[in-house]
Amino acid sequence: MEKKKVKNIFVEGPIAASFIADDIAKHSTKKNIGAHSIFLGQVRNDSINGQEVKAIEYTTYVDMALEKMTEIREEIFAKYPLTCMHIYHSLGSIKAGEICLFVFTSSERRRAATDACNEVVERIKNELPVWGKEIFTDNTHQWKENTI
Amino acid sequence: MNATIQIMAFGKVAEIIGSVNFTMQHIASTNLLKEYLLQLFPELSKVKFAMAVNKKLITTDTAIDVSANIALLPPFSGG
Repeated sequence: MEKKKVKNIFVEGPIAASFIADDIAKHSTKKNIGAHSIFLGQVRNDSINGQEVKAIEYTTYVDMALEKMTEIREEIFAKYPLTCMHIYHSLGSIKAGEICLFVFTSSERRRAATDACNEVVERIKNELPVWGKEIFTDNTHQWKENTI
Repeated sequence: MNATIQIMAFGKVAEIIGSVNFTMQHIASTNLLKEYLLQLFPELSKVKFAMAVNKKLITTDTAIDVSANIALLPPFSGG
């Protein structure tokens, strides 16, 4: 059986805008690409019972998450003619306003990049064992559950 | 030697149990394990959680092998 290559997607702390810019710049050498699609998830300062979310602390079951991500990646590449796909998800404490998810798909023509990007984001939110603990300004917390 | 299983708890489930990783005596199936955990930690009845056996999410009662890794997974909230 062919051994699947497991790529890490997790990074400690927020994803910097400069990191995203560098990643875009790296693709200028791949001249067969005609379209990129990027999704950025940002921590929102939700108000819940009068308390404001100041940060989300992300944890994961890393072995299971990366195994699942490898499966998702293979299915997405089988379904869409992508040139490449890069995914970064934050772990640890991410403040409101900071970026916690960066999904970057590229293809020759735009439909594959945009459709694959949307599908991957949905699958990450629904299928990866990652948990967000919402920390309020008074330091109390609640465990987030994903909604649309 | 006693047969054991490894349990990993995450998110709110870990908070209720008060531990992230622990070893316990072997229990034959996921339904029996869930019953046992609910007896030990009644607060768990207030939260939803799924289980994974050796990193695979299970949806029906599943036999647990000796030395299996069991994960207790509350609703996901990544991204």
